[in-house]
Amino acid sequence: MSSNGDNEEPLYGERPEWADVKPVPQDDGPNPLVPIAYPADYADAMSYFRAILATSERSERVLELTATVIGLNPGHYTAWKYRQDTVLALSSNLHAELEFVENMAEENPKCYQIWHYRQAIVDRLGDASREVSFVNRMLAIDSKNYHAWGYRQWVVKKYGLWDGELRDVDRLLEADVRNNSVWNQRFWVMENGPEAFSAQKMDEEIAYAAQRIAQAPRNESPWTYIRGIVRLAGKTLAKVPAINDLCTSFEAQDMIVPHALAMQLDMACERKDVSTTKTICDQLAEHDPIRAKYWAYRATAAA
Amino acid sequence: MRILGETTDATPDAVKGPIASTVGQPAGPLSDDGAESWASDFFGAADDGFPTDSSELQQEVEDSIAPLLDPYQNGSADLASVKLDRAAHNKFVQKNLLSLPSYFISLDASKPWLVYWTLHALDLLGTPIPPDTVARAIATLAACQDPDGGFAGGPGQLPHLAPTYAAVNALAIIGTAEAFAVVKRPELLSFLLRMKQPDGSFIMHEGGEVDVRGCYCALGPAKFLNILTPALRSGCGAFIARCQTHEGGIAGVPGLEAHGGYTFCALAALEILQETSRIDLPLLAAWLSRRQMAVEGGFQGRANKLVDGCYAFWQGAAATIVECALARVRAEDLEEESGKREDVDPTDMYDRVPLQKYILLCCQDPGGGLRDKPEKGPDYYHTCYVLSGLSVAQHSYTWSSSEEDIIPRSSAKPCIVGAPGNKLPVTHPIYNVLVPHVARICSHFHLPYTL
Repeated sequence: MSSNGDNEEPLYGERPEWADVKPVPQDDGPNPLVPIAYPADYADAMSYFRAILATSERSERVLELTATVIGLNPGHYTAWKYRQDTVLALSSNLHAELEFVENMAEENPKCYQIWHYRQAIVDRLGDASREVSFVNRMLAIDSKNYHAWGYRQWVVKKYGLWDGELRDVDRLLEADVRNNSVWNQRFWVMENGPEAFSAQKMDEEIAYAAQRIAQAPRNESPWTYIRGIVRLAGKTLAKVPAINDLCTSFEAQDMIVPHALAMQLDMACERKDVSTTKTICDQLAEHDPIRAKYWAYRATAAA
Repeated sequence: MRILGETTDATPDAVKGPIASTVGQPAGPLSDDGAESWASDFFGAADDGFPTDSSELQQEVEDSIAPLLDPYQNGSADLASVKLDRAAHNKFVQKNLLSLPSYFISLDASKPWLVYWTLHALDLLGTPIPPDTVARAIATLAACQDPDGGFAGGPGQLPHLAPTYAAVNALAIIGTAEAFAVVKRPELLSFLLRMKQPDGSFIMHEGGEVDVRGCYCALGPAKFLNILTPALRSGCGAFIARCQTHEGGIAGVPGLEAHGGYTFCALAALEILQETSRIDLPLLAAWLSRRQMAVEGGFQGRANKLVDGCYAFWQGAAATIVECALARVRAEDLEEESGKREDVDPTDMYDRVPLQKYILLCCQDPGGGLRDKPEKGPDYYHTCYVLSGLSVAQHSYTWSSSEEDIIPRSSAKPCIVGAPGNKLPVTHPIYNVLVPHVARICSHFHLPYTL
């Protein structure tokens, strides 16, 4: 791009309102490694951004400049930070910032800075009323977006927005029962939510997971969930009859489900039943050969 | 996903590297020679007749790699002749080092990463780093150092823990007095302490986010530079332990989902602190073993996500550290019984052979460079981490109580899949620079700077 594209703004170097600023070109030194052949628009905006950093100017035009830099390179954490400090210094309209972030997030859903920036703005605003629906829009694009889940946990916990969590979890598991991020969120609600976790709750959650295991027995997520829930309740697997029933139900159907065998292995270990442990490890090595070395280790560790 | 190197999600699937172009590998129909049944019993592969988005994406990957793996599974092609194409990868790494194309502006805040990824990749490929490249690397890293300590993503940017880690690793690879002289040690320590939070975590930069990468990116350089002070260590292990999830793997922050990139960072940091006993190692070992994909042989980053070549390092090195830590626990138990202290050899917990097959057959781009999976293009990040993962998979390691470090196991034969010439030098599973570089930088900085 020699100048800018057809519909773009002029370069900062061509704008009268920036004539008072002397641009500072990038100094890569005389013999750089990995220098980037900067496009003209990025080189131009960065030269003005460096000049602004040097003078610590906080102004409306800085917001436009940082938006240009961030728009071209969303990972530019220094520009994000400078924008944040400027927004707070100017007492800018924070709702407008949320819109700015949302537009950026749709294009760059996995950029650390965008999510952190939104958190800082919402924290200052003290109003998280639109945040869960924002996250839901982002999860509709990618239901396993790690940053979106992290931001969701921050918002829900900080502002006590627990009411809709299990409803959204159910909806997302209905859409994809293998979405491990959603299973993790369910566990997080059990562990951190306002409702005290009880033995009865444990039974209900095991039944919930067992239903979803019936849909797709080789789906790892609900199996791991059950282990977590039992641990959260302070119990051991072998002492929960429903788990044994779940595992043996596949034997009755003549189905080999490695996750069920692995659960039975852990129960045998809890009972210190060495011979059953070894038998199951052998079965697993046969039916889950990629992990044969791990199952062999488990057999040795039990001895 | 790029986990370390700013931007992304290691997905972290995340940023697939800066390179937009992808080399299309058509998803061919599943060959009818039985690849499907080969996998059907096992974890992950089958959709149980209940397809969802996750299982459909998984099936697409399995279908697309079948033509690459099948000839070697059914014996119609000879695995022993499969080569790591060093010349092509070497060319890929070197060709743009003096002028990166304009789309690399997405990595304009990751300059030290570009230096580290390329130098470490060349090191692993056995390519001597040309003197001009060394001089330029030193100058570029020096230009990224902040006068008040720490390294930034580029000249004039804010110092940040991730490029600080990358810069110190790159200087360790170069390993000359001139390279070591770049680092302002007292200022670096002061920067690390400024990032430290009361709960033991670190913010990545002033005003930045907290996650477990910060612990690794602070402690790794601190160990190399002999500034791992009690104030710096304090509380880190406890914070990291809070990030272990009910699944057994480790998340970026407490509460999130277990994830390969963060698991590596967390575990490597705990090993540097010698505080692995803070987490449930058997639970972690079980989670790690489940991350190896039954059909592909490579690792995924999270449960029910897709394979990605970069996890060969993140998960493979984490598995190696767990193996060594469990062997250390075993040695301590035996010492209690017998009163005699002897190191115990670790037990393998993942299968190195299918992992290497995945790397050699699916992650080598025909035009040079390594990649996430066949339908993705190569980039520097994946070239660095896929090769690092190959090195860890080829070599055996053990805990040495005399050296107080994880070291290559001299008694074990390397496990080399394909041509014997595929053997790579040994990378350190904690720091991810070649093993001799660790000793060299530690010995250079063996005196505390206060003396």
